[in-house]
Parts: sequence; structure tokens; C-alpha cells
Amino acid sequence: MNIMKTLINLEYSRYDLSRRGKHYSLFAALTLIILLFMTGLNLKGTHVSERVPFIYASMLLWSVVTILSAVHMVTFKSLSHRDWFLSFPHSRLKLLYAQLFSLLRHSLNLTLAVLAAACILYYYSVRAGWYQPLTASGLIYLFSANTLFLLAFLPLAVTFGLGVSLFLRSRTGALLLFPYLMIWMFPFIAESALGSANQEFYTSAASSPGRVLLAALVLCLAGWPLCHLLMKLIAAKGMNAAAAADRLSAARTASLRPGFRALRMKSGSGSAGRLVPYLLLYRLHISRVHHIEKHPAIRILKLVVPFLIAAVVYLGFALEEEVVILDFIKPLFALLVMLGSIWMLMRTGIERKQLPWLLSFPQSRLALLLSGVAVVWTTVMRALSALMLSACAGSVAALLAGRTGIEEWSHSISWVLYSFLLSVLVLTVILCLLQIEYCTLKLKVLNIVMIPLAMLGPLHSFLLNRFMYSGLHGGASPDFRLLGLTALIALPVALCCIPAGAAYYHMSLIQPAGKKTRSKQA
Amino acid sequence: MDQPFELLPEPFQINPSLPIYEQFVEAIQGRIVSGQIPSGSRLPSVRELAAGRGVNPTTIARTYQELERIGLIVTYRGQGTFVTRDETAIGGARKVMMRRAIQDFKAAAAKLGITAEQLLEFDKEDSNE
Amino acid sequence: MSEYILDNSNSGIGVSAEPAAVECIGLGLTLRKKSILHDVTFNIPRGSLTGLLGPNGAGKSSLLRIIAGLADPDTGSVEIFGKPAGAKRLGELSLLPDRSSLPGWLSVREWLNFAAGIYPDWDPAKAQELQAKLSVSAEAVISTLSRGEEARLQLLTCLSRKAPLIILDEPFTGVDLISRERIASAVVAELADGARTFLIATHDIREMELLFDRLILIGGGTIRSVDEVDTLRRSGKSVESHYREVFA
Repeated sequence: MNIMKTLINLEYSRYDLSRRGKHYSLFAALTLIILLFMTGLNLKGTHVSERVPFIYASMLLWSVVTILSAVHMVTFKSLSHRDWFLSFPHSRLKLLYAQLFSLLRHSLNLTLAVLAAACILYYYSVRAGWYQPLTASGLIYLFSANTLFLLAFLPLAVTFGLGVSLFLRSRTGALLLFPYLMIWMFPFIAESALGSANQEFYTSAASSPGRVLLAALVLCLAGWPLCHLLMKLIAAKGMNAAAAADRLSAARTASLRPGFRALRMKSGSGSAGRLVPYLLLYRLHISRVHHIEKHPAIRILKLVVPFLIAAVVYLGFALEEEVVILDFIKPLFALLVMLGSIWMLMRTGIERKQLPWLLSFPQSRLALLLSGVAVVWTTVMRALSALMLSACAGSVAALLAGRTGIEEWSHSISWVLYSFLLSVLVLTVILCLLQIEYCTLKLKVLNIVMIPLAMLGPLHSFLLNRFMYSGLHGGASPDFRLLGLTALIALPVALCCIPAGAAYYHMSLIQPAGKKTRSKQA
Repeated sequence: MDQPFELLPEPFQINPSLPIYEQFVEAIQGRIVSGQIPSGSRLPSVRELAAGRGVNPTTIARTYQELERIGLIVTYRGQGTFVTRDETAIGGARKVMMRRAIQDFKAAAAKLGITAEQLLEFDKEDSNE
Repeated sequence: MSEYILDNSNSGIGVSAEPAAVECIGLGLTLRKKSILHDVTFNIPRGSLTGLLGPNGAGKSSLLRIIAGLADPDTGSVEIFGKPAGAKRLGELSLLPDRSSLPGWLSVREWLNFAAGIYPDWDPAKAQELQAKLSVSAEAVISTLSRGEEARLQLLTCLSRKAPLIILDEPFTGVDLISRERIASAVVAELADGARTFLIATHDIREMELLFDRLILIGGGTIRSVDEVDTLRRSGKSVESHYREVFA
């Protein structure tokens, strides 16, 4: 058991915030709690029932924990100490369990912050008079039931996230990626269906603490053994990344080399026009994205998802539930924006090996940074556009099939368009703001700003719900003027961040490795 | 441990194309015979010498084995390896080396097309001038 | 100091009753239709220092990974000390992986504390001794170490265990001269103490030339020659000249 503890501590120390400074973790925790509290205030169900903060807490934790575990697993291949880790004289299952437990520990830290925010939200709501306060015992009952529920499903969340490795191995695995994502989306869909559409759900018996406790028990008894089986499967299949990884990374660098060569040649011959260096750099970065897109799993996703979106939209119209369509589309847009922001945050780590080469190119740092941002932006834009187009296609199909009238159709489409434009705006703003990360290398104090920025990715949808989508359920038209005004203010501010970051881009060369801003784990 | 002598000449070039232990034996033998390594002195252990010279300990072990076979060194269990105090053994080794030196001298003379005596004659005349 | 007992199995003439440290028979490995290793057969006697030399891409790292049990061969078998190799035998050997670093966010002291818990055969006294000998500073953060210092730390981690088989994959790449000498003399000291077998894959022929007992040359996934270095030298060939002969 000593070995297990050591392995867990080793894995845990990697993202342990307290290593950065004694007060860092405390500060990060407080910021997180405050931000969560403020987001919670603006959620639509908060005024209804005392259970709602906890429901939202569960959903947030589910999404964050699974994504973090999945990202951890996917980046495992490219860790610089991967070979050493795999050469430890312990079984793969043990190593995997060590990773599971360390992720669990981080998740528990996060859970504490989330629960604290939920409690503060409850007290605030009671004081604001939104609902009747519970008795002391009722409160304890609610709180403990939900805590137990969270504790019960956290291991499942982590295992589920780690399981992504199973689907990236082979073509058959790639096919199963889609059901995997559906299972991941299930809690959100369930909440949308049960909760937002039907506010009584929150006060009914279906969501009472007793039911929650029962759910926790079921998860424990049925879910945990399932976890163990899944872990064994992952250890056997998923962690055999070692041999395959080397050849894969060799192929990947091979795909970058033509880009590098073309760049050197062209830049030496006196560029025609100032746009050329930007384009070349952009092409260099995008070649890596193209390489990832060739992965069978991604190919299948690109094929299947548009059809599914179109089908769902069509059904939505057919069943006269136009509002549900938007409740379905909005989280998808938000998810894409969130993934874009996570990708941007991780780029410093991803690019670390190529950074000396990139910075030695005879192009300005602004060009380098801009091309990096552009790559993320265009890729996410492609995904967003694909989503929107397939939604439109589904709606047009419904219109042509006579399932809906012109008025409802144009109303829904205008909301979809609004949502799309809003997501594009948010994406642009967030990506630009994240470039401040490089300024923190010079002005350490800006690190404070990075924490809320990092959280903007996952939490922005809640803010949007409050401010920009206020008319949605009331049947009003989207307010494009509000959108335009926000864009007018936010865009220039955001765009200023890029030159600011470019000025200090080179300083990331001399910083020691490990400058992580993924401080979502408090 | 402080050694008042050098076991091997300091800039000792090891030829990687010939058996290394032979080169070591040759060098150490020469130094024992000429007195540069006093008789009775303690030799470094296999481990020390190997680590110091960057050669495989097997090589050093073979060196010591060979030197012991010739009779120039003795190993006392638990105490270490020492140069022998036996003067006859050292004398015998000296004689072997002298014979070999003479052989080399004769061969060098033959290369020039003269006999060994002629070469010595030349040396006498040369040093008189 | 300890006496060094000449192991007859080194000269190749004596027949030892104990199984060889490593015995590979007919190993083959194919990845994505490319043959990485083909019909690899050799053995490594106990207590020897064997060098695995060959051009880049010859399959050295794949071979070492198979011996260590981190990868499985498609054909053939590997035995370590008489029993089949595999991931379960990781506790009996010490592997220094190629082009890999130790956890960069830890300080040296923290890493050694973790190592003491992770490796069941960790020898703290040895670790102290090697820390002094290889002059590895305890408080430095691993990601800030220079290449030479990190190489010395990695070797320290490998040697501070009691494993009887030590596999070093390119321990000298990019390492400065003094560090290389220190690493070589640490390896020699281990060898002299008797019980360990070394298998070293390296391009640094000059540094290791005088240390090899046995030489395995591998190129294009096949074994080109297996020689006792003594035999080579008796016929007037150095390791370097033999390498050139085989590969040039």
C-alpha cells in the first residue's frame, strides 16, 4: 500500500497548486468559489428551489472531471516522463489506479469549492427570500445526500474520462466514440428535459434528497464494480501507448517538416506583401491540426454528427418543441467554445518543444502569436459553422416537409443565428484575452487575472444565459442590437491583448517548464 | 589512500586495438623492474584501478593475474595486493625485459641493414664527438 | 576492498551452470508493415558489460524495450535469468529509457524520496553515495537541470537499486565530457562489485570502448555480429574499427 500511496502522491504533485506558493491554492480556491457563486446567481433555476444549486454542482463536476480525466489520458502519450513512468516495476493496472486516485483527489478539491459555493448560494437565496429556508435537519439531510451523491459518482466520472483512451486506439474503437459522447451528454440532456422545461421538477418528489440518496447508493453498488472492470480494460488496452506513440509522433513531426522547409525557403526570398508570412505560419500550424483530423475517430465524428444534429432539429420542429431545439443547440455551441479555450490554454505546453524553432523564424512575434490564435479560431469556427449549417438543414427539411410554418421557422432560425453569432463573438473574445498569459511572464501580478480567464471557458454559457438569452423562453425575438453593442465594446479590448501578448511571447522560452494555468483544480 | 608512486605513467595512452591487459602488464612490469614502484608497496584494488582508468574490471583482474603468474606481485587474502619483496622474481622479470629490449634493438639494427654491434659502435663514436 | 573474482563465463570458454542474464531467441517485431527486428538471437552472460551498437533506427530501443518487458515481440522469446521476460520482471531489472526525462516539476530530493517508495529494491545508502560521487545537487528542480546533470541523476536512479540487470539506453546523448567520465566510472564501480550485468546501447564508442566485455552490432533490425571484445583485440581490431568494418 505504501507503493500505491507513493505513486498517487507522485501523480498528484504534478498539478498540486500548493507547490506554486503557500497562498496560491487558497487564493485560487476563493476565486473559484466567488466565480461559481456569481454564476449560480444568474442561473435560471436558482430562484426556484434549494436543490437547484446542488443539481448544477453535479452537472458542473460531471463535465469538468470527465474532461480533465480525458485530457489527462490523451496527453499521457506526449508526457516527457512517460517512459520512466511506464518502466516503474508495477503493473499497468496499479499505475492506472494511481492516476485515478490522484485525479480523484484533485476532483475532491474541486468538489469542496463547488459545495462551498452551493452552500453560500443557498444562504444568499434564503436571505433574498427566493424560497423558504429548510429546517436545520432538512438542510443537513439535503447537504449530506448531495455530498454522498457527488462522492459516489466522482470515481465513475474519472474512469469515464480515462476510458477515452479505448476509443482512440483503432477504427472499431472510433465507431464507439459516438455512443461514448452520447453517454457523456446524458446528464445535460436529462436536466434540460426534466428541469428547464418543467420547473416543477425541482420541487417535486423526484428530486428529493431521499431519491438522491437512493441514486448515490445505486451508483455505489452498481457503478463502482463497473468502474473496476473498466479500469482493467483500460490498463490492458488503453495504456499500450508506448510503442505506438513513438512511431506516431515520428509521423507527426514528419508531417511538420515539409511545412518548416517551405517556410524557411519562402521567408528567405523577400516576401511579397505583408500577408505572406502570416499565411505561411498559419499553414504550418494548421498542418498539425489536419494530421489530427486524419484520425479515424475524428473522421467518423465529422460524418455522423451533422446528420444527428439535423435529425434532432427536424424532430424538434415535427414535435412542435422549437424551444427545445435551442436548448439543445446552445450547450453544443458552448461546449465547442469551451474546448477552444482549453485548447488555447494548453497550447503553451503543446508547443513547448517547437518553441525555440518557431521563435527563431525571421517573422515577427506578432505574426507567430496571431497565427497560433488563428489556427484555434478557424478550427472551432469550422465546427461551429458545421453545427449551424446542419441545424439549418434540419430546419429547412422540416419546413419543406410541411411540419412547421414559416413564422415559427424564421423565429427559431433567427435564434439559432443569434446563438451562432454570439458564440463566435465569445470565442474571439476569450481566445484573444487568453493571450494575456504571456504578459504574466513579465508582470507576475497578472496571474490573478488568469484564473478567472481560464474559468471563462466552461462558465461563460451561464453568464450568457442570464444576459443575452433573457428573452428566449418568453417567445421574444433575439436582440441583435444587444449583440452588436457587446461586440463593439468587447472586440477592440480583446484584440488589444494579442499585441500585448506578442511583446512577451519570447519570455516563455526562459521560463521553466510547468507554467500551467489550468488552475481549475483548487 | 595516498600513494607515493604512480602505478602507471600518467598520460598513459591505451591502444584500443590490442589486448589492454597486455599493455597494462607491460607498463607495470617495467615500472616494478626499474624500481619506480618500490618492492613491497601496496597496489590499488581492482575496483579502484578500473574506475580510475575507465577500463573493465575484468581487464585489471587479468592484469593482476598475469603479474602474479610472472611472480611480480602477491595477493594476501583480506589484505590486498602487494609488489613482491622477492628480489629473484624481480631480477628474473628484469632479465626477461632486458632480453626483449635486446631483441628489439637487434631488430631495429636489422631494419637499418646493419648488425647490433655496428649500431653500438656508432653510438660510442657519436657520443665522443 | 573486495576481491574481484574472475568470472569464467566472461571468456566464453567456461560453461556456467547458471542461466545467462539475457537470452534472446529469434526475436521479431513488425510495426505497420515495417520490420523493426528480424530473427534476433544472442545471449548476455551474467556479470558482463555488453554494448549494443548500431546506427540510428537500427532497432536498439525496440530491442531493449522487449528485453525489459515493456513491449511484446511478434515472434521469438526472451528469457531473463532463465525465466521469460515480461512486464512482471520489471522489478528485477533497471531500465534507463532513451530520450525521456524524470518528472520535471519535482526537486531532486523529492524525486529520490518518491523513488524510495516506488522501487521495492531501492538502496538509500547507495543513493547517498552515488549522489556524492556524481555530484547531483539535492535542491535543484529537475526541469532546470542541465543535460549532463539530468543524465547523472537518471543513472543514479538506475544504480541505486539492487536489480541484477541494468539496461542503459543511450545514457550519454548530449552529455558533457566530465559527466560522461563520471557516469562511466560509476558504471565501472558497479561492475567491479560483482553481481550486476550491464547492457548499454550507445553511440559513444570512445567512452565505452575500454569497458565492453562483449559487443553486439545491430543494423536494420538484424544482428550483424556478436563478439567478445578480447577476441577482437587479439586480432588487432579495436571496437571502433570493427564497427566501421561492419557498417561502412
